[in-house]
Amino acid sequence: MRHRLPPGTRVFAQLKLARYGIGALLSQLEFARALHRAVRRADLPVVYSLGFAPRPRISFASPLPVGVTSDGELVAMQLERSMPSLELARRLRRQLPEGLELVELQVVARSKRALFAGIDLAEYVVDVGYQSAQAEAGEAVCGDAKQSLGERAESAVRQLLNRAEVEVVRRTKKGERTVDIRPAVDRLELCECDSDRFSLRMRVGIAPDAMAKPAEVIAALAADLGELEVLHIHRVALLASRRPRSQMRA
Amino acid sequence: MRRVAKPIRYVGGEWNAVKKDLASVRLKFAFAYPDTYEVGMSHLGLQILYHVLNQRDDTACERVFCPWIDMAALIRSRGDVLRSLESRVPLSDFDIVGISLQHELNYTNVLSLLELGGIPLLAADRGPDDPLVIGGGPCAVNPEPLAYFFDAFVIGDGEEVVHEVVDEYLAWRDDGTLTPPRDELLLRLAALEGVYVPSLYEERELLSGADGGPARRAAGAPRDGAAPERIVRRVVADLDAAPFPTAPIVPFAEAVHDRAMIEIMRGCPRRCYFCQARAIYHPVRWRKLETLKKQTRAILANTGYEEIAPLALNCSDYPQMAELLAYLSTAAGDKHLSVSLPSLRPNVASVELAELAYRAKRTGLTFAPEAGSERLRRTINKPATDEEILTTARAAFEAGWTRLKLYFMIGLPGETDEDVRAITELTRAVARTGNEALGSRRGRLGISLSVNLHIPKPHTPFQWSRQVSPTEFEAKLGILKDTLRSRRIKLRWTNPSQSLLEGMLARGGRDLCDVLRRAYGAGCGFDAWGEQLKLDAWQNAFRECGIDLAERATAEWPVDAPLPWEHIDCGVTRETLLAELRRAHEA
Repeated sequence: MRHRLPPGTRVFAQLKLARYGIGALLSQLEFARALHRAVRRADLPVVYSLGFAPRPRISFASPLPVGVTSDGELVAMQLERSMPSLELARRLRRQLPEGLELVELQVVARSKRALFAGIDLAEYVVDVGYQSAQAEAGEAVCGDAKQSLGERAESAVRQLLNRAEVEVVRRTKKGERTVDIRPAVDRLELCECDSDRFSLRMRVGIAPDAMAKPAEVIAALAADLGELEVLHIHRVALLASRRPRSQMRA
Repeated sequence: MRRVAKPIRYVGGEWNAVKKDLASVRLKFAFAYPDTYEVGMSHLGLQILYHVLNQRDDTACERVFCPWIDMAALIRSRGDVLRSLESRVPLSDFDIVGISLQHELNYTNVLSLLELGGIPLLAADRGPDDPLVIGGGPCAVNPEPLAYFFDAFVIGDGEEVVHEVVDEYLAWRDDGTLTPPRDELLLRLAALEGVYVPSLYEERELLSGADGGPARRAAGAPRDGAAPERIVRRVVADLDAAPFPTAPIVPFAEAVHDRAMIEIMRGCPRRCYFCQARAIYHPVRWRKLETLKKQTRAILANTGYEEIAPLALNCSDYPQMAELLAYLSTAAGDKHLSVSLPSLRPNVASVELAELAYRAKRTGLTFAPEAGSERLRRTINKPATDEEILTTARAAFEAGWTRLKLYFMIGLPGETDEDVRAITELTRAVARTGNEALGSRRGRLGISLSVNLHIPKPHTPFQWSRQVSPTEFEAKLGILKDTLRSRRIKLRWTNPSQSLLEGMLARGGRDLCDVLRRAYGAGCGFDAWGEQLKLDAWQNAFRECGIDLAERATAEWPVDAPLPWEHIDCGVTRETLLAELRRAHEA
């Protein structure tokens, strides 16, 4: 099989995984280790690196922060040989621990560099709690807090999108610095609203040069709305802003 | 959950974890480990007993670990209780709570488990609805410092006696009486071999004031003859046939030892005088090579581990070690399995074993000469000559290793400054050997020197010896620091305050129960985690009980003094230990 592939091309299994419950509490390292062990139990023909401490060639499009659930984690593993996708998926599914779910698996042949080429956006749904103290002190007393919060959130979202620059403070290992996240906010919309909470659907950049974290977008909205609490973050999908080149079936 | 560090510690759900419907079993057993998840999950005993108990249809075994400080605070502030990982059931809802005693510096965490779990700290305060609290593990060979907190202790190997305890419990509860008295259960348990029920013994005072401290308290004669005078340690006679978990739990979080384990041997054929393991684990038993091969295959298939460690007090003593390693290497052929050898004797044969185990990887090898001079090594009955050690080192360097780790102890009985300087000389000689043997690769030479304070432990010939004080330790360490000045040699040492406390608890009597409670009340916990040790609070707790910690811990004991652990029979007699102590002095 392999000799027919163009030079520099290899066989990969591309996986989409969902992470819920325990799966959302894993650090990137713990997730990688759990997946690796599942792959070994399933006896999948994964390629290992050479050297003193051989590592499986499994790569991840973008690490998921601890506590965030997801429906669209993208993982690629290099295979020694091509195998039917269905067979691979069947074997792996049986070995995945609680909290990790295989959504999709396909075997492809491509160059290593093209693995996650173009993946530069992440879509999130973020549940936000509105400080009850403010709700009580303000509109809630009049009895139409639900509508007011909705309107106010709607307008805060519009304002954010209309601004040319949105500065937030980003905490890194080296300390704090101010960054402009506006170029990295691709889409932002209000999808649900209650008297003390609302949900936002957002599409933000994950590439190093244009990156915005969901919590940073919420922090920027809090400048208009008052204190907000992030209740839950869910990653819907990892996406490419441009259409990827067509894939080759292995 | 997002408010605490490493939430994955508290959620369970790991591969191979067993979650039964608790309504469908007759007995709920909690295996509680008085340290963090990562430490507890590395412990083979947990995996064995979890497996053994869950194989019973009538029993469910679930795990509980000591929550880290942030999680403990969260549990308290929410008015919640400590719960099991599997079914999230409060610890106090279990029928039996088994607490693993692996280390003296975990004792405050034992109290933390009980209190957070909603169980009265003192056994005497527990009623018909409270769980039966049992202790087991190496520290149970001197259970006296914990005597008031436990209903019973199990001394020795747990695989068989745990069934007997469960059976007795069920027989007691189901004997027809509506609320059977707890005392009845304790009497039943005390009749089992290897089970110690502290409340069934009179108390007596020991060593009255002779060492400058007040009397120690310990178990005396059994009350009304209701319990045996001596509690004989349990030994699983046939290790090969003993149950072993071939589908152990695979933690999500990185355990301290995150790998597959096979227990190749139990017990040690040597008699190093400082070592308690001999009393705890003898006689020597091993599993057959065929059994180990079968278990290895099953464990790897069931876990997906990429590393395996053959476990023994010393792997060099397993008769078919070379064959076993050859097998592990071939099984690894296409599975990228790496083998880890945690314990080896300092001899050339061991280097050859290590070559088999670490086919390509030559990162570091560890040997423990324990003492610097040949004389002192004879004293402790680990009599390797300097030449043997250097030949071993040469063999290791020639086989490709560039980094060696050497373990020594300071504060051994009869040790002089000359013996401490001998550590420097031996280490330098190893370094010179490395320089010669490595040739052009000498730039990579590295020697890591690990120095521990010798702690006299119960049931060893040195149990009467004095422990050096932290000040003496620092002084002797100073000799090493002054004489070992090379960037190739890295010196590490243990925290002497921790050793002081460990020694005190290891040889303590019942009077330390009160000290423990006070120390726990003053906020002590996770004492084995260097930065968490609150020595001032401990010293206060001792002072409040009329004990000077430093003085008591460093006192020499007269050999005719009664010992707090004399009623625990580990199989090595007092006469043997005394004879060995005399031999040590003569060496």
